[in-house]
Amino acid sequence: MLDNMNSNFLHLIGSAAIIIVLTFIINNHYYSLFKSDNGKKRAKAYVVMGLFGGLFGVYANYAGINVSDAIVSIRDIGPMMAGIFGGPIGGLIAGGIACAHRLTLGGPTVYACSLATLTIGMFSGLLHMIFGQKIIKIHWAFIIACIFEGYHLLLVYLIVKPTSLAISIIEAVAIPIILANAIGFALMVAVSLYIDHQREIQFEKERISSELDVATKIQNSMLPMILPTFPGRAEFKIQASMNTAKEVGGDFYDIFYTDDDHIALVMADVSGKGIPAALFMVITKTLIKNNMQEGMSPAKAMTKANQQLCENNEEGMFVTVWMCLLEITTGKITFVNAGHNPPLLTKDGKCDYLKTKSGFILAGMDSTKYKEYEMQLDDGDALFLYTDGVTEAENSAIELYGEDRLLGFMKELKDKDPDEIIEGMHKDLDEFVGDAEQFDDITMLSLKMSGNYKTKRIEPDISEMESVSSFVEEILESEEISPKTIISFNICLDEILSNVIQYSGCTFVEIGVSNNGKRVSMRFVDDGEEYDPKQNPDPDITAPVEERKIGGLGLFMIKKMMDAVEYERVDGKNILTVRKYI
Amino acid sequence: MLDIKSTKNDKELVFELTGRLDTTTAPEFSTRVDEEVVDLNKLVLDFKGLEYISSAGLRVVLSALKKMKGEDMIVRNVNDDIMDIFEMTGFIDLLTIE
Repeated sequence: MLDNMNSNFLHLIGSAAIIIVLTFIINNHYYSLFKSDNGKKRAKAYVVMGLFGGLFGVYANYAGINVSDAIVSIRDIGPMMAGIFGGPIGGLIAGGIACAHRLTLGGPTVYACSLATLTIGMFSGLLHMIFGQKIIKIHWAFIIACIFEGYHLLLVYLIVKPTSLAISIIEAVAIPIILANAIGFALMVAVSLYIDHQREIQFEKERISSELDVATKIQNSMLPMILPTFPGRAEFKIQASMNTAKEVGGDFYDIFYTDDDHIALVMADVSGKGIPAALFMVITKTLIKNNMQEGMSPAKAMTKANQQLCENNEEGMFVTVWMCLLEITTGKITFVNAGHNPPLLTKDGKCDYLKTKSGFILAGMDSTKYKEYEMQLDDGDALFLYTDGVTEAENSAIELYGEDRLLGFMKELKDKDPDEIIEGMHKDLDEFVGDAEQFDDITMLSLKMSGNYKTKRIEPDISEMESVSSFVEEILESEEISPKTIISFNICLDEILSNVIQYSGCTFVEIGVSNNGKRVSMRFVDDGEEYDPKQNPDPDITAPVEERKIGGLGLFMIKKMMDAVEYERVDGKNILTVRKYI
Repeated sequence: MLDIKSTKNDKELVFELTGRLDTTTAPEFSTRVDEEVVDLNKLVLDFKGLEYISSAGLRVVLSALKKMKGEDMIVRNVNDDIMDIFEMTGFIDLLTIE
């Protein structure tokens, strides 16, 4: 008896395994067909369901247990499944196949069982039509299977003769056949529901991830595009960049004008990550910008933004901010720090952290009053703002990039332009971090002052040169520059201007002179053909008289006489700057 | 801003330059060199009054040198700034400077 039960149990386990595998296959491979709007594809799914159901029925016939020559099997699950999932088409196909196969097996219940299987397939298909997907609940599956098997036994009772045989068969098999089918079908539905649930979770994940993607795009679009430098007002250059670690980060920077002569730079890091940080970032960014554009000083704007943020901050989020307001014509900056990393300042060719007493973090305490500091930025001076994603970038050996390395590298880059500084920093960070994962947003902003130039604009005509020469001389003399230096600038002026006028095809040239007390700079802006004189090869200054050429000699002299020659092409204009320490 | 004074004595010519020899003034000096540096055995460029010289001026000096074809050419009273230019450009090796 025990052996018998054991073998029945093993049979059941084996069938359960088959059911699970089958459900997985159908759910994973034909799911999209079932959900398709295309009738043909759905019909294909129904036929496939029917075939699978039929095959399962055939398998169940073989795996059935012989009781008094009647076969106890879970064959009916095949048509049930095919009907419930695959509608009348599926039910009929599965019922037909399983029924036909059952007919070949004979035995006293052959007609009753075959008919039961065929009609169960049809009834299941009808249930699908009436109730649709609603029927697919575990308890419903169990109840439906019980009812179908009751109906199956009723057919046995009605069809098998003599009735006493039918009764004895029913007595022997009723309970196992009903339970096995009901449990098997419920199992199938359970697995199917489980797969559905997993699929929904996956969909949800994908949806959230794509929403995060959109959030990242929105966040990035909120960062200011790089400001154009316009000749005649090219008093400074700015470059900034932000690389987020997760999809949405809490870093941000901002660059905006508060009036014609003032530009504000903001660098900030919101606590936390993800959507909450991004939302907080948007609020903070907006508040600071609004306050600044209302004409508040940096300290006032921050103090007010802090109160506004504290009013409604149940989440306990906070932001660290470094902000400055630059007065363009004078180069004066007014800055305020709310718990942010100190920026790097390059002044008079020396680079170091700009450390001042920092205020408390923004959104931390509503009573915080921020204090602002002032400083003069002159031609060639530079600021580098960043978030802790830079200094706390980690390599695979869990070492931090650190303030020392940042300072050291920035010293190397101090003569570069902002775009080169940002690019160089990214390269050095990449080199340091190697294969390690980026944990935090990496955000940087570089500002470089190009000087407060006094300018004169002329038509491209050689006859204008004398007036320009007087213009430059007068400025330099009034600044008490030595006659020797004035001669150097005069020669450079002659060389560059004659070149531009004769060869560039420009419609104007603008000459600017700037003196920051340590270095005099002279700048030429023209709209002529792109020409970088730094690319010009040096002439041979040792050739004998007959082979001597003058071409290139002028530029060569400039390089020798000046301490720096810088060229850039901006908005279709050549900007050439020569500088000399005094 | 360049004053050019020339004194000819037989086959010896002296140019006395006062002012600046640059893009604006070089063409005038160039014309004078073309006209006057003909069949000489000595040419003197007196830079006593010359403030500075740019590459446009160097071009004329070089063309004068080429026209003299190895005959005597002397540059005198060269100030420090112009001497720097001559050094920088290698002209110091080509010229006889007094």
